[in-house]
Amino acid sequence: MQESHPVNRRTFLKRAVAGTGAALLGPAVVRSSALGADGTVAPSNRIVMGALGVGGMGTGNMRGFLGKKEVQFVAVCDVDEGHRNRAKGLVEKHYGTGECETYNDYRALIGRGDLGAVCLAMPDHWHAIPVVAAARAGIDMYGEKPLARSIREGRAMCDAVHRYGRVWQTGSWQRSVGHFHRACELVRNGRIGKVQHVEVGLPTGGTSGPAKTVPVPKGLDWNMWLGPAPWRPYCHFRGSSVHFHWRWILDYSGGQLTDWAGHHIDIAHWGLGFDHTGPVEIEGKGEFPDEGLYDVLTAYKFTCKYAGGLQIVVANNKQQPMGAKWYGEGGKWIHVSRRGLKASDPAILREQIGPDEIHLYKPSDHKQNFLDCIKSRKLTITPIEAAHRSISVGLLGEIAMLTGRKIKWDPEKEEILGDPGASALLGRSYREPWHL
Amino acid sequence: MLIRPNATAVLAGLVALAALASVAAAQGDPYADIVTWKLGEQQSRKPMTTIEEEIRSADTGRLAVIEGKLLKALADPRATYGCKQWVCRMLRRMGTEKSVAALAKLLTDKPLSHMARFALQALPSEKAGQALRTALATTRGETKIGVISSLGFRRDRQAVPALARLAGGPHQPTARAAVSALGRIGGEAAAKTLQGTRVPAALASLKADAILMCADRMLAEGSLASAAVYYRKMAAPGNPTFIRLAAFRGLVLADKEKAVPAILSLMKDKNVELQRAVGKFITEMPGTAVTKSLADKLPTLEPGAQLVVLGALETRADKAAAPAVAKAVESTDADVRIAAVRALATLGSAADVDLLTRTAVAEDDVGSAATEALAHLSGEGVAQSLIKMLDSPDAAIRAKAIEVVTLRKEEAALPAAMKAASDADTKVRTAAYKALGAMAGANELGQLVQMLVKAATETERTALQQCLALAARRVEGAAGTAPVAAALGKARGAAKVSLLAVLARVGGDAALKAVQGELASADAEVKKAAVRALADWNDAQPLPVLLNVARTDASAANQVLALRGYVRLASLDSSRPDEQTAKMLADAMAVAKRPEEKKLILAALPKFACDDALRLAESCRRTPGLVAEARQAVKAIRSALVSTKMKVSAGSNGRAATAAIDGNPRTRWTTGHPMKPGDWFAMDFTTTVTVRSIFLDHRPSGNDWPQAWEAYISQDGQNWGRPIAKGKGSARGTKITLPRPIQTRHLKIVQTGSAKKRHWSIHTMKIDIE
Repeated sequence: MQESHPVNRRTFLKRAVAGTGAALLGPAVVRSSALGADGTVAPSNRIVMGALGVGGMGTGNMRGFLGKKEVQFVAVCDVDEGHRNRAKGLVEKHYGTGECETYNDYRALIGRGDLGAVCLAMPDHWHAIPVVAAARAGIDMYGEKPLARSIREGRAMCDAVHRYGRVWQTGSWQRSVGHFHRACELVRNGRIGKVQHVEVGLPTGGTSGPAKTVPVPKGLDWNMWLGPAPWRPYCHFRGSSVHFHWRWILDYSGGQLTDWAGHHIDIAHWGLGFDHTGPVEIEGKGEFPDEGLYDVLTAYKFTCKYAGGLQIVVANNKQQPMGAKWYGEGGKWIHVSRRGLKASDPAILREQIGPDEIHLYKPSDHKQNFLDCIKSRKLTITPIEAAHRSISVGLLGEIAMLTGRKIKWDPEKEEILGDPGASALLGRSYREPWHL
Repeated sequence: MLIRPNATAVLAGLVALAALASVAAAQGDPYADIVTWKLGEQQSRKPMTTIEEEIRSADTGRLAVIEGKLLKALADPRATYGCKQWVCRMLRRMGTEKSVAALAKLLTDKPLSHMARFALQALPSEKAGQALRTALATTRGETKIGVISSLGFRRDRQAVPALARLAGGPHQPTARAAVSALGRIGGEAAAKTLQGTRVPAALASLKADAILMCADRMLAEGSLASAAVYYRKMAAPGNPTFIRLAAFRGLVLADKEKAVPAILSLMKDKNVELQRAVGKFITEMPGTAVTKSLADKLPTLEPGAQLVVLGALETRADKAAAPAVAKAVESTDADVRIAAVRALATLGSAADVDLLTRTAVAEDDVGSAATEALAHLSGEGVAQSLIKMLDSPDAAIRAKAIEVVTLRKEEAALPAAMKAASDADTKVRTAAYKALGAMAGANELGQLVQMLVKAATETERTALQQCLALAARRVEGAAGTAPVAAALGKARGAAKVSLLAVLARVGGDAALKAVQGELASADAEVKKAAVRALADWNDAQPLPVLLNVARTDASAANQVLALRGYVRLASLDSSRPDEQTAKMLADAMAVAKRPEEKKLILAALPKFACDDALRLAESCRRTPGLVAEARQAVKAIRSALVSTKMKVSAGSNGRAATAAIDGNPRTRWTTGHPMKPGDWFAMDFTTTVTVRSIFLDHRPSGNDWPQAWEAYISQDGQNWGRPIAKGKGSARGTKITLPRPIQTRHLKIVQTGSAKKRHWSIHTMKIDIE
């Protein structure tokens, strides 16, 4: 970057859009000198952001970014009018202006042409399409886990993000927390010897009764909410509304298993250095509700065998403790969860990591890391390939339990071997008119 | 607050309904029952889940039978939309070529076309592809777009000609879908077709994207030369910059070393975005030849581009770049210097120690970065090179070298650090003391003790005292204490005082014995230092000795010192019962002569809230000079006692009520249902207390504050009378302020508002009691 080209993404993109009919470019490298002496950032140097999906999670993420001095939110998008108006109010209150645009359709948000980054928090079945579109439009992305509802979608998202050199960060924030980082660094540097097997504990799901059709809540664009998923009438989703309880329905999510795969399987993989690979065999048993609206797995336990023989056993927390637990040699183990870090011998936790050893990505403020990487164009602490590989484990487990069969998986080609029925579950057809 | 699906909110009625349905299903044929199943009519899903379970446990032969039954249901004239949709879902999981004809019929059925594709899209049979290709001609509008999408997902190369016609057609949504599908199908035929297809301007960038996808597929399938042809076409000027960037990335992967000249030429490109992207390309280009070319170019680039290249060279981790990066450390641009120094931490070796140490001496951002780089620099000889720097004639270099070996914990540097402890330069000596404090072991303790005994100035002695204490504490057992205790007997004056302070930091039986011995010293200063050491002890071991000194010592100053130390040590965290600590503090109170120490004891009491502590605090309420402190202590102890003894209950979810008073903000009591008038939470203080206000903290649950509340009091927990206060909740926490301090044993808060989606929760509460 040249000093004579100050970063003014909005102007720059407007010019680019005028010339080519599309939003194109990644934001420029912002040098530290672009920050004012008091740490404030001139509006022209801020990263122009939009929020796509502003329910509970999306609003939380947006609030996190609103607190960053180098960000300027200009637009929010949600298929629920109530959500988007509430988010607009938050943005405008924060900046003291009335300049936050609202959209019902993500294509209008992306088509603005001035966004440098978006934060995305839609239901899982709505992850792939806007991410691929945003990548094509040159927009950097902070997206929620799990990465995708299917492995084929996840790969398409990775390809698009890589093809267009976009900065991607997944909301798998545990990597930015000191004790998770510490656990993984100890495991990676052999402090428990060679890892023999790993246990990953995730939450247990629940059930519901049959659901009756009810009127679509005012302000909710139900057809758009369904998007590429199979049509169904709006029904009584239990509790509040569809905005949380979609997670218990297979058309939109894989339940607690896929929701949390992006946390604890992600951590297990990080500790093993498996961010670019996956298991070769997956086999397990799960319980699906035998009644009611919800149809995702409630209890589950499956074993993933990796090349070389290492096994990761994933189960709900009634069967093994929450978090990731690596078992090494000589009875040594390390267990990390949100409750803390434990080891078979406390001395393991006091071990130093020397200069010549593996140093994992240094943890810091998770959202700040995304913004820093937008400037440096480096990989974030949670790159998209890692997110794809962690949810792939959850999705392959789901396929093994849906079919009741052992799955043989080629992690290089990302193909299920010798089982067409199971292979069919790697992707999904989209309800028209949606396509990737 | 959101209701969890596995919460008790699953209604008993639904369970009963499910049980009835289960019985019905068990009695009937699930394949017959599914035919009339309707979405959204609260019908039991038991027939479906029975079949799903059957599919999961079936072998291949049984699956063929199930497929036949499902197709029969699909063809049944009575079959509902819900039935057909569900059958298609199952055929996705286990359908075979046998299902294609039935599913093909549904492709033109607008409401069901998607579900037919749900099953057909990934079915490996060629007949499935044929059915979808046929449907291209027989469907319209959005239904056709769906079929196009499925052909794209199938990567059906036979569909390329038909899709090409649609891509160039007049209906833009269809053309858009066709262009995307051709990209997803990929390969040379699709790329060639796309290249020759004219599309409206609005689809130009999508077409370019699709061609890149085709080239990516060629690359993945090993057709590197073919892929490179298309990447070069898309990288040419005239294409949108974002397409050119993606094409160059592909070119790097396809052309490998042959792409080097093209990528390097981008550094001088007028397009700043292309210039800036070089860093990413560089990172992905393999080979040392590339590294060397880049290193040669580095000095000719403007500072912004240098930053990019330095970052990329660091990521490549090819040490061939180290000499050029080292030169960049001497740049006039501070950002470039920092980037170069950071890169050297990865790329550098022992040869760079001198440069980095000289750079690290500066007290600015570059210096800090260099210090950090030295701390992480790895490779053979790095530690030895750093140790050699300790012989530098420049004192600043020597001091920095010691600082770095300390950061790296280079124990091989201990002899050199010991030598540096006698350096003529104060900064070097100070750095050496820190190094010894961090790394010295049992072997060095004797020397450190001698250095302390011989220290010429108070400053040196203080620094050595700190260093020795750190080192001696690290050496476990008697080996850490013995050299210090041995020197104590012979030492005199200030040295003795320092050694006593060191022993206080080390602790243990031997240290205590040595310090206690000095209580008999005839030298008043030494004796005072011994008392001070005991008062500064790091555990409760010297408590009896301190109490005795406080009672009996002839010196008033020593009495005060000992008593203050006694109160401090008694207040340290321990497993001792509160009653015992309260008794110890009562002993201290009996000895205390001055109000200052009595106030100290009163301030310590609430931590050990018990009846004895309360009595002691109450006994001082009328003592002149202690009235305010005693009142405060009584209030704090009572509050603590109330919170430990009080009992709580709630109108709903009562078993979780104690979570509101466990002091843990991560746990909570919640209504378990959206709040409604009449929800209540009650406290039984178990004795009559005077309450001023109560603060309810629900902030960890976001929106779960009470919409409105009323407060009631009662002496028996039965008769509550009229509300004594009313108010509204707040997102910042809800304060229940009573109109005046009110004596009561029971207090109840009743929620009087409504909220459709929000529960009422309490994570912690604070009760203000007189």
